[in-house]
Amino acid sequence: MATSQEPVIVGFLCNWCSYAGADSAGTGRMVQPTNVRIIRVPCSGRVNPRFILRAFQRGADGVLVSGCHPNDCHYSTGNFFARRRLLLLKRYLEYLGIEPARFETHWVSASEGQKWAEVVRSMAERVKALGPSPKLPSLL
Amino acid sequence: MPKSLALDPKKMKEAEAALRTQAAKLLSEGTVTVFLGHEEGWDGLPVPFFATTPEEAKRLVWNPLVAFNLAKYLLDRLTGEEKVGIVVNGCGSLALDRLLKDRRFPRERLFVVGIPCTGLLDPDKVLALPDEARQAALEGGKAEPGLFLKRCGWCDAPNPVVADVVLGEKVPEEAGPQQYPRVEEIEKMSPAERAAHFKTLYEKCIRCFACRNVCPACSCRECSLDQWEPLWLGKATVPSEQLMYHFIRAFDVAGRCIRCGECERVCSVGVPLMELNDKLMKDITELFGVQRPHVPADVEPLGQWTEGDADLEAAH
Repeated sequence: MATSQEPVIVGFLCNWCSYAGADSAGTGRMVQPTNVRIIRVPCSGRVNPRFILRAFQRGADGVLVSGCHPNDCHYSTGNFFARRRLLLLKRYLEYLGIEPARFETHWVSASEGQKWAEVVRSMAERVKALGPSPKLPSLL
Repeated sequence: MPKSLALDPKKMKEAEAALRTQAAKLLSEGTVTVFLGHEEGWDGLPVPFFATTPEEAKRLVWNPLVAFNLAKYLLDRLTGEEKVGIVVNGCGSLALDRLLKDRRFPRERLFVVGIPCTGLLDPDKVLALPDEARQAALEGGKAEPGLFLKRCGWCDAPNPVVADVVLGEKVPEEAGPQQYPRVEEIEKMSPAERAAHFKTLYEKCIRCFACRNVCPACSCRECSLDQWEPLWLGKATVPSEQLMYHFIRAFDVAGRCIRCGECERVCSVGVPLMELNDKLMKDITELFGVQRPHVPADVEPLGQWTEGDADLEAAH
């Protein structure tokens, strides 16, 4: 949280690709930061933009949404809908005064444990550089 | 229309007479059992009025102050088989089309009387004028551009898009890209300035939900903001909940907002809500190439996708 040294990143991971990808990073014993708190969702299309704002509201320093690569969605098109929505959301958050780097979207497949570790490492670095999130209550 | 905001009270008077005749005819023939329009209120402000007999239809008015959005009243008449008549101008028809495209009211149960619009005045501003100036504005058509409703300034659909009967001649349309000057100003601010800007905005909000209630795009049977489980919106009026409310309100109508600006007009504390809606509309145009995001389409921008949509991952 804002008071601790280590930033907290809330990660919404799709069940079929990214969650399995994070799992394979773990079973592959890849070294990765422990900043991400994972929430498993059926599909990146399940992520309501409200989830993201709620995470920030409750003190998350960063939010990460990760799903299957485009065209690889378990439900065929879920991530395409998510992509449009999150594109719009990213600009909207920036407009409201939340640093855009605090919110990221990535595509990580089940076999990309290496990529997952890299995504977590680089995002944790960026969020750490930003410092603790001002938290919405004090931001506004 | 924006460039040549020209009120035409004479035309409106003619339309009013035609409207009364039309409504009386519909009611006496039994085509509709109720007709949604406006009548003169006690302070000269037109108020929503539901005529059920040909005699009552004589009370209908059509003047430069009929700003109220009637489409939303249809939701009170969802049950039953009765046919409903309604009068709309350009923006009223967009609101109606929004409800129809959202499949919230059956088209078969509607009889739509459309009136091409020559601009409407802001009732609050007009009522505050001294008597003579008000007379000149309402009857002589001499109104400053500042007296018009904000939405008239960016209107590109003065002619009804949904209508069974159109009373009066079509108004020439000036279609061009929509402009969002206020959004552009805010975009130029630094993140901290923007946060401060929105902070002062939402400190005003008393969360009366008038903006949600009037919005033709907000028509869910059960609003998630009223739910206790999950509690999306805390009841405390603390800044973070205020932001949550305005975030949800604007994002839930993203791609479906008709840019009628009613939310802003009915706001009792003057929160410029369209700053959020306009931003989303502007981005929808920029990101997805939708040229008129405020005009209801068969498939809304966020209800579709293309393989060529910009990829977010590349942005980090």
